[in-house]
Amino acid sequence: MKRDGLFSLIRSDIVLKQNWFLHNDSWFNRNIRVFLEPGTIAVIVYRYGCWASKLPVPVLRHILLLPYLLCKIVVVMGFGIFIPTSFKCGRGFAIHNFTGIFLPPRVTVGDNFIVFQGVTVGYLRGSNGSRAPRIGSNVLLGAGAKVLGDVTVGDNVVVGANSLVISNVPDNCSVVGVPARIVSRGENGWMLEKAQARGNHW
Amino acid sequence: MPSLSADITRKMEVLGRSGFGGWLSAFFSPGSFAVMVYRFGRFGRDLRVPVVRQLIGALYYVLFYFVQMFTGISIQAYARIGRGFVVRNFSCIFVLAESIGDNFTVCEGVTVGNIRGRPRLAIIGNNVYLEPGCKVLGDITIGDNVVVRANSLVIKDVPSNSIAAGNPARISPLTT
Repeated sequence: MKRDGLFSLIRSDIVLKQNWFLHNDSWFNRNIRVFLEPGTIAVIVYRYGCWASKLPVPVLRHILLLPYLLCKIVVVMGFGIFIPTSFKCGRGFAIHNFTGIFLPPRVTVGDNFIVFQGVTVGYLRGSNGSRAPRIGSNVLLGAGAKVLGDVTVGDNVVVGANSLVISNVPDNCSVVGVPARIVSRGENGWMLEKAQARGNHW
Repeated sequence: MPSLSADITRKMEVLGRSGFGGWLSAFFSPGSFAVMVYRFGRFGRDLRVPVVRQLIGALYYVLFYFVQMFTGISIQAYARIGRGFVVRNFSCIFVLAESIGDNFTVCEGVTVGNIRGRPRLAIIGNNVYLEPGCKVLGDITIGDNVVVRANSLVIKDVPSNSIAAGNPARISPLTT
């Protein structure tokens, strides 16, 4: 599979955000204001950092990483969004709102990943080794949701607001609660349709 | 100050880092800055010399304001916190308690504070770990070796060697 370029990844992020959150919004909000949101800025900085840290030329890489580090300080201190470049995300990554978003290193996430404010994906206490969560495609983490420890979250999953996921979540379901329980199964094909702005899912 | 170096050492343990690079990453993190400013404010409050005490207090308020504004960590100097205090991440952290024991760990989104209408605050023991997003409210007592799971709400006493999870929290014994 061909690796996506920087601009195609950023475009996929913006398109996901437009399709998901700004589908019926005005032209100004869809195309201008989307770039002024802290979440969009954080995602663009993260994509730039991933691209710059993989450049093969050493000196050029260091020169291009310098603005990334400065932007990262602004994103971390100003917006409270922490995304290291060792966090691996596929096409389409939208952050809605800001503060308290912590995504750990060495985590792999599929396409169309949507994160709200206060979301932590991370390690359990005392296990800084390799036991990070694995997250599939078309996943929505609601406001304040926490996904901790050695768990697998499947495709087409909605994690409700303020839930705590510490056990595996199968494909096509919605989970809610502390600790999270499955409240509905199946019928999550609407997520992909909404991400691609097909159908009318409001 | 010995308690500051204990904080940094414990932060390196929590992050799983070692050596000089680990020390740097533990030192230059927003959580460590907040802990340092807290220790400075606590040091000023414990001083007996009148004028120096007020000067340190004024400087502390400026530092506290900036830490609060840039990192979103608000740790009031009123609380007495023991050695090895670690703030693991930052943003949305509010800690105000009567007294807190050694090896206290706080993650992002944690509130330790009072319930409306009740002036007393929480008393927290040693080796307490508050996972991201949990709230500990009211005049309750939390024992030693307690883990409060993420997104839990604790409004009742928690005995020693236990784990509190759920909203409101249910207590179960700590197994690990």
